[in-house]
Amino acid sequence: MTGTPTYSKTKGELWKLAPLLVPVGMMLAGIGHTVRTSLAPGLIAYEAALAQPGLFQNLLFSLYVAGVSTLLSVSIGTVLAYLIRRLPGVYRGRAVGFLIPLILPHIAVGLLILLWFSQSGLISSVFEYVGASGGFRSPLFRGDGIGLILGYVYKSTPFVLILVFPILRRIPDGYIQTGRMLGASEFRCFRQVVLPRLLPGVFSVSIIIFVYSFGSYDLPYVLGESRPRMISLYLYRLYFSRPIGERPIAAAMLVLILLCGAALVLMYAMAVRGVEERERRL
Amino acid sequence: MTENILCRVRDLTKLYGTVEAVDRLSFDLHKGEFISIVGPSGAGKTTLLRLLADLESQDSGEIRFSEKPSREHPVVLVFQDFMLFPSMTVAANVAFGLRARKIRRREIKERVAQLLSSFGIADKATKYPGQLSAGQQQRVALARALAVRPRLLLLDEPFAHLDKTLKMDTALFLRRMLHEFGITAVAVTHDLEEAFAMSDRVGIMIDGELKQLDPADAVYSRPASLDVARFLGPVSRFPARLLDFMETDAAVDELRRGINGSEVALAAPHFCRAESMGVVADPEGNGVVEEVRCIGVLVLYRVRLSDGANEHILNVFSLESGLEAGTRVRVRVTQVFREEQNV
Amino acid sequence: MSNLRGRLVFWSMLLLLIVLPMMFLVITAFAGVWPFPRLMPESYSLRAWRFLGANSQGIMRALGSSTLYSLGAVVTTVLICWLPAQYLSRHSFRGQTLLEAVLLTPALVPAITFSMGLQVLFIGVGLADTMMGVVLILSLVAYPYMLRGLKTGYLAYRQAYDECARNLGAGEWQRLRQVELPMVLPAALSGGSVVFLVAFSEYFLVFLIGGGLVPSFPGFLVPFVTGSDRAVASALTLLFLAVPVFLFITQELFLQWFYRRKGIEFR
Repeated sequence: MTGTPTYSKTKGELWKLAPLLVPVGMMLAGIGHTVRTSLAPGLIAYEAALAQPGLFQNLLFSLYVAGVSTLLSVSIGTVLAYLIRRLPGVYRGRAVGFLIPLILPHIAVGLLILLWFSQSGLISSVFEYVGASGGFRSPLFRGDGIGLILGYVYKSTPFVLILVFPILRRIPDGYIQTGRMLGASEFRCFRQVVLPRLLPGVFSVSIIIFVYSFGSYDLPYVLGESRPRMISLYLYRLYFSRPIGERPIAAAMLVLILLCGAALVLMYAMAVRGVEERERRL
Repeated sequence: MTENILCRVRDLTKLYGTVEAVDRLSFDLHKGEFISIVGPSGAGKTTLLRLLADLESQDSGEIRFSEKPSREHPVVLVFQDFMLFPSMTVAANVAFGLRARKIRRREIKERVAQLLSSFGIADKATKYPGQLSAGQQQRVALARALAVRPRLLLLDEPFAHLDKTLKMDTALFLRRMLHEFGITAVAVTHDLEEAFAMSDRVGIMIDGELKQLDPADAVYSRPASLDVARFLGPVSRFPARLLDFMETDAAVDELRRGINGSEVALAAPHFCRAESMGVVADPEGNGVVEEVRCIGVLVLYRVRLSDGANEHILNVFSLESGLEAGTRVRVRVTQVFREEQNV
Repeated sequence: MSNLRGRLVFWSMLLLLIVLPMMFLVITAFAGVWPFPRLMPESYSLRAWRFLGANSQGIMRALGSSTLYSLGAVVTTVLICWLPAQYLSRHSFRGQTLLEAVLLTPALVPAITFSMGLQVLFIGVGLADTMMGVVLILSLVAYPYMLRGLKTGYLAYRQAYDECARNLGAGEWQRLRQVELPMVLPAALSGGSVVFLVAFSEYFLVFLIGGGLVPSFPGFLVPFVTGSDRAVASALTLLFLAVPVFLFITQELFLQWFYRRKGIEFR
């Protein structure tokens, strides 16, 4: 009987997947409309899109902001999850505090960043108060995206925490304790015993965070720098604010981004398969 | 079909991949009878139950009921882990099958109360499964199954979750309840003693095949084949010529007459259960007690017996513990097997 | 890890990342006169809170509307995901991993790629600027979380329960309602919390599809965050936090009551 799916009596329930046609249909309709718009005059819109001076600059800026945010929040979140895993059980309850940024909307995270890091914010006051030479130059609105990165890291780290912690919890204590007893340092233990089992999960979390930081609109709207600009703001303006004749250009850019997104979906599928196979082997 | 047969099973076969989990099984199940199927793990016992419960479909063969199971009288399986619904009270669990049958509330209430009191768990009606002991959970599961007045009740490993001390009591309780309710039942288990104690007939299932299905005493005293004997307990192995140095009864003598005097035939391996042998102290005896071990009710004697050329060690069970190591004994034997074949 | 060092890191991170920012938010909300570069306000006042009181009608409308469409999204995603999650957890078929990845697409591609096209289509079918349209778009971006949560719930749910219920003669509906629902409920609720949070804190999509006609709390908050009145913005943010916190406490109490009382281990 081992390994045999025993649900043999319930085959032919494929209709149960039908409700998913609602969101999938909506998404395909939305994408379809964008593609149709972009194709209005053949591929002209694509040529025009690629010729737009702002596109590559803004795209690179978005990739950089999303990449750095993802790297930082995944590292901090994973280490934090490991820390909580290694501390006594009561710390799991206390760690709920770390989830507060999850409840904060991006707009409010924007407010927190402004309160702390703007030229008239808390840190600036501290510098002024202790009379640090040269004072404080706010990192916001300088065109290097630091404000956005801070915001995304603040918002995404707890997300990593809640997704990685369950994976960590499934690693039996014995593995880590054995590693420690054999004389491995805490760091080596983490890197050699824990990290390999976390990687597929961490990878899929990274993709989700990366895509969100790359394409979301809310935080750039509050902390947005105008030059370079996050791609979401740029495309929104292009799509809705310009004369309607230029909409195909924006649509063409969206399609290009979508194609990259499809590649990510495939990578995600492979990562998930990796996780599942690993779980099966364990 | 004969009047008192509830169900005929013929050539029932179920494959998992290319392995026969259940291999050409045939037997008749009589009305009101309680059968236990015993066998080592992986013998296909649970698969047999799932086939009878119609949770799986067989690959070939048939299960034919003389009165078809119906919504009013279904085939009900009591799962090994009981599968009590954790969010329902004991009473709601027992009522579950009745509620599926659109029976009036008042009648449901009465039937549930009656069942709970017959099972001695009336005081637990408002408790939840998570608050009960394993033994109590099992009673709830049984009451829930009996509530729907099953034509056939199936029990999957009814003792798996019970402490050793509870098992025999539960077996006798099961027997009493099933007789009281007039229920036909099939249990699968690997607890031999409990199966013997509670069932009308015991079946031995090995490697997907039903090797023997007989009343308990018949299975115990006359196992039908060597592999059944091996499953039941320790077996000693010796060449045919050693029989000349034992006391044999008529049945064994019959077998011995079949052995011709050739060297091959005299060396052919024979087998004997520890239960089928006995020892009697006798200064003239051929055997010598090597070791005495108390294993509960019985005593295990390890006896050295020579066939003239070689010495053999035999395991013998006895009720008497009077013999000491070194005592000379006669060895008696009542049943002997040749390779995969019985007397 | 020496436990002491670990604890120290834990508490300092909690202090720096959570406690201080939240305290600072509270102080700002109660600040009166606060000239730069003082570390603490010179005086405290209830001005921001009085402002909230004076505008309570608009605030309540925004808060109510946000709560409504967020709960709407939770209900919609449950309806969309329940049976598929059940199916996906019980069957394995070729291409399943790929199908499931495709189903997670809304979480894996930027929402702008399909939402802007969808907005134009919604205008065509009269869903733009309506509560219904907002619920739909939010369900679209959030349903992967519900699907994931329910699938986890169903994987933990032992199919033997289902077989047992079938064997006792229960039909599809009785099994779903009496057996599966109570056991998958915790997973559904935790999926629901994520959906609620995503919906409740979303600004752009509500603004895009609701077109300003569907009031939203983030929409109400935005002008204060980008403006200069930090005290009012902080007070509004604190108010904003109250709704999900209240819902989660309710949910937690419900689960405790429903499960612990019955001696059921959950999570």
